[in-house]
Amino acid sequence: MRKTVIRVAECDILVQSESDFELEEGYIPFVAEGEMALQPVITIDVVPELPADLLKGRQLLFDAENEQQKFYSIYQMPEGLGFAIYNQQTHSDIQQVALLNSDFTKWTVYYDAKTGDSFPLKYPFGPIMLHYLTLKIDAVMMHASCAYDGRTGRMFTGFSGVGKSTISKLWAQEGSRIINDDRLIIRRHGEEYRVYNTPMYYQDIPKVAPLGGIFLIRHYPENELKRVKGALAVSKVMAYSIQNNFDRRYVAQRLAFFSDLCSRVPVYELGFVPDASVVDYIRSHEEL
Amino acid sequence: MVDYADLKSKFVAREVGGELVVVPLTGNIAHMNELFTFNATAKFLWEALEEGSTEDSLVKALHENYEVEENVARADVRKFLDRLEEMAAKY
Repeated sequence: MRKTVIRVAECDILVQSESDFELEEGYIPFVAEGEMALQPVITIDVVPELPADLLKGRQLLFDAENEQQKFYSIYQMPEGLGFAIYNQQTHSDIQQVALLNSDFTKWTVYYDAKTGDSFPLKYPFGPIMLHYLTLKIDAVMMHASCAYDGRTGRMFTGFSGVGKSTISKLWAQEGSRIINDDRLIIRRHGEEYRVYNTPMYYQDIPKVAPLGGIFLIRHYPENELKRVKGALAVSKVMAYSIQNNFDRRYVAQRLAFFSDLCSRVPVYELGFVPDASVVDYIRSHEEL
Repeated sequence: MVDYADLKSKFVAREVGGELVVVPLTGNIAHMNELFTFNATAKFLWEALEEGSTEDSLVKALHENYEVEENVARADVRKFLDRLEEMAAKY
């Protein structure tokens, strides 16, 4: 039996199989070397074959797709959920079938090893698995960047192309460390919230920062910061989370999470000029 | 006749600071970046809206609870229901 532990957001994920398998490059820095979780939060059993009829006749709950492509479909199983995960090159071929038990602790991932594919957790399985991990541990995943200056983490979020990477690079030029510039997990620890990076398609070491502010960003002719609170803050921050909105229970759980988050961490609308001036501007105008 | 309680069932709501955050239950990932907020009056109407509710029953509830003129209550209810229909039409 081959066993590997991946540690994400301080959670141990045990991946195991009777057969050999490989992890994509981005997972490698997250492998907990020489350690074996006694009680992993999640166990992933990997099976190197792709059964044809596992999801046949099951009720379709949700299609994760956009105008360009289909990512995965979710089916109701007798105990838990079933996933058909599509190849992102061919857009229609199923590359994995995955089953998740009802308390989100155990995955079984089937993949077609006969085609020479030895990566059972291949994208987009990773983000799907992380999404259900965050539901299990009452955390959230965000489309956002985060920069940590050694004192506090500042998260920048907004629509694609709004400047999340640009602004985190500006902070990096001023000495901050970029936690990630695309996808992050936020998790509560006692009275504070922490931000974590996750395995990406490229290698990066695991990072964490205390979350001190959330900035809803847009390019603007001048730097301008405005605090937003209450329902408006919750709705604006939650809009940039990574979530499946088909199940009422999970949406309610997320709403409770974001309500608490936005009551503890200041949320700002930030119009910014994409140069170094925004760093000093934020430092002199934020509430810490 | 529009079943407003059925439209309401397409959303999940939570009170935050006296207002309401309203999230659509949707099967389409592309529409997730759209949430709604309701002020105190709309929050009252949302909470009053139940199976069998009509425009008239909501006007009566608002008129009685907020001590506003009936024509003002009717205008607020119509605005709320129009918004609800508009939101539901997207999902």
